[in-house]
Amino acid sequence: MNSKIVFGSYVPVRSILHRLDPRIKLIMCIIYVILIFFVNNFLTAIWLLLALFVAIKLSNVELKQYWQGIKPLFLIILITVMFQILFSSGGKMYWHWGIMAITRDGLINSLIIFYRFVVIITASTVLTATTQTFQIADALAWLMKPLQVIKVPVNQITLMLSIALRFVPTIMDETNKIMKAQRARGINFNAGSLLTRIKHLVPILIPLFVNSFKRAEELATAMEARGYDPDAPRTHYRQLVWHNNDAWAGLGLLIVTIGLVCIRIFF
Amino acid sequence: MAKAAITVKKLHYTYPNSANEALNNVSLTIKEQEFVTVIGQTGSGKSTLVSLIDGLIKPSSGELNVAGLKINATTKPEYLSKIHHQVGFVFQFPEQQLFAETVAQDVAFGPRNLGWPARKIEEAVNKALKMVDLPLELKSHSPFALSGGQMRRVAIAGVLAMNPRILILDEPTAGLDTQATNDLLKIIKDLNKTGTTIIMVTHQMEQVASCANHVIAMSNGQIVADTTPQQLFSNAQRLNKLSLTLPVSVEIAQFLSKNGVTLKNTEPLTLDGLADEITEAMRRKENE
Amino acid sequence: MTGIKIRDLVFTYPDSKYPVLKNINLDFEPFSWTAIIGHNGSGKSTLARLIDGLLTPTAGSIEVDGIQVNESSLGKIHQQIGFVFQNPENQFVGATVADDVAFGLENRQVAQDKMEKKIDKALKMVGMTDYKNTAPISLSGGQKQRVALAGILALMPKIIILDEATSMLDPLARREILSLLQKLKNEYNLSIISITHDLKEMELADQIIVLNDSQVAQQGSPSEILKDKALLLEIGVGVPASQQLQELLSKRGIDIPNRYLNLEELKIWLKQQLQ
Repeated sequence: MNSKIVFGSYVPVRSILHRLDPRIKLIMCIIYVILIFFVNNFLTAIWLLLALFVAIKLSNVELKQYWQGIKPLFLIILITVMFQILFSSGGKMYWHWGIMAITRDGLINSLIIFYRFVVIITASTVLTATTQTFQIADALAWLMKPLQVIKVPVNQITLMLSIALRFVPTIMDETNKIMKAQRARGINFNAGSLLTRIKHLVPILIPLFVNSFKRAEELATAMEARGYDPDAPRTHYRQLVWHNNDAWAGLGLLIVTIGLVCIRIFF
Repeated sequence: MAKAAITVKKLHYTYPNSANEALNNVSLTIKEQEFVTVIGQTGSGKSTLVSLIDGLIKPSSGELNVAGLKINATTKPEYLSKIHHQVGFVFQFPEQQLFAETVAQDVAFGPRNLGWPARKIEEAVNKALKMVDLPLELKSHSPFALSGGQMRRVAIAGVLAMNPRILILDEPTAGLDTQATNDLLKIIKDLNKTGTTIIMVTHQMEQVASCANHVIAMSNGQIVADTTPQQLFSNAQRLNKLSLTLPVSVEIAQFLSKNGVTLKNTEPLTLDGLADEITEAMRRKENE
Repeated sequence: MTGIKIRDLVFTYPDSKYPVLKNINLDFEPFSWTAIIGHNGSGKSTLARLIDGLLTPTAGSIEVDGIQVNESSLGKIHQQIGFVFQNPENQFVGATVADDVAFGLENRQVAQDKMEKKIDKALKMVGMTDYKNTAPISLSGGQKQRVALAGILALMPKIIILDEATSMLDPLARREILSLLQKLKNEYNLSIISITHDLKEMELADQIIVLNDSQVAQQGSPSEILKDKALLLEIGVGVPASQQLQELLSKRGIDIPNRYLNLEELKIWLKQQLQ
């Protein structure tokens, strides 16, 4: 019912990116985020932004929808950037008042932070918009596989993760329902001081916890009845298979990386 | 002629980011002290309609008048929340919304939100618990330590404590056994008798037959029937189209009349009424 | 033979002084449909969980298909018995319908290349083929229970336990699930144990077991149990409409058979009398 695009939600359209193996998408996203920290000048910044635009274009998801996903986080970004502008020092000073000052370094730093924030959030939105959550969980499981050597219970962790993800919409729905019910009992979530607003969370959080615990208990029984034993080996229905396109995607990322290195060396 | 408690005119509602209208041109009038049942398949728009009547959502277009409060697409939220002084809403599985440490605190939550003085709240809590037939000793108990049926009654008391003139109930008997269902229906009927307008969403045609004097059937966001139970059940074809069943009494009566038995009333709403019809038919046959 | 034999069963929850079940001796015939009815808290669900080995008896023994239910036989027992719970939402493990049906197969270590076929077959049995890649959030309660059934049928159990599996569904979905179960039972020779408050569901059974005060209060065919008005009222089940009408008519001096007639039988009897 609630089809609002939120940060991190999947957009069910067809595209090359949607068809890619979730593992390559996850790896590319991680590497791209690392690359962002090697941005040191205008040209490198543009270069990586260009790569992101190609990815957005290939995802077949409209720019507008990305904007809707990022919008709720924009306030946090702006506040961080404001702090950065007002409280970092160095370079030429343009304005100051008490401990606050606007300096040249402060402006540059905040610009870099703003850039990183927006690009990293957009890049991860590209991943989540084109990859269903359970696929991301599968990809994570694959990435974590080496940890099995040091006795990390990777299979349990990933099953836990995918069940948690599976219940996100259920719990969102339930939160909505409880809020509506308490609103019908005269509570006003949009009024009052900060303290009253925090107090207003109690009639939502307590039922939510109580119901979730009950849910978890029932789910555990149901899983046991279906033969789940955390210590026993299991087979896996969903198998990830590499395709040619995944190799092309990897190659694309390699070009982006080499390009970045070249720009840093030659300019 | 009783006054109108609720009038709805050309109401449209579309959920945010949804392509389809959840309500499409709905108009209706509910009079004071009526017992209305709203029926229809899951997704037919029942829940949307009752949410609009309680001011939990605002219409996309059209107009509502609920207990004298006029609501349309431009109504301010503060004005909307005034409705909660007049209309109570019992959600499905209301026990899932309990949160307070004691029964008394939970029931008092609504009145407190309305800003009533402590004395009045105390009285309202006691009265509400009495209405749902729960002993006052339970007031100091944790609601989570009660049985399922008791928890539901505490939750309903929490709504009744606000002393609503209009009470909306969304499938109040879901998940209860027959005994608990009958007890709860009796409480609701008594409320209706003492002057509360009732709007009850239900899937049980038996409840429509035995409780309501006004039934609204919905399908695909539109009202497909706005009539009395008697009238509704006389049109088996329409019910079939809506995938709704007949109450047993009507089912038997219509089966008999289809098989050539003459009955005066082919839509008896109770088994008692049906028994009368059958007895009379038997007598007639003996006399022939 | 996939009968169930219960002997001198006692069960007390660890944090309770009083047993929820005591002196239970029961036999469930193979290929039969048994309904278990009783008050909330009468131990119905506990009994079902004990049969499936999800709880361990305090005393007494349970045998399923000749296998003693205990710690070491749990794997085998879970394989024989499929369990459908009350809340369709809380037993859906997978991210999609196919994933959920696969869950039991994965636990059973079915080879990956064999799963697809089994999943398709199970989904076909419950009429959910078109929803194979659908996420649970967009399914109705009835559809979720169908998927739960498919998850069980994929493992080819001999017994299906329904713990108020239809109580949260609307009447239409309930009717559909029940007729699906009837069909599956006949086609695949299943035994069904259903815990229920629903009179229609009771009428489908071959045998009804009434639990009251932690004990078996009554046991018999639907026509025997559903005629016992005092008993039905005591356990909060309510009297079947046909039974109520029979009584109303006999009060009005009409000579109506004293035995239990279900709705269809009653309709036919009335028709014969009045035509």
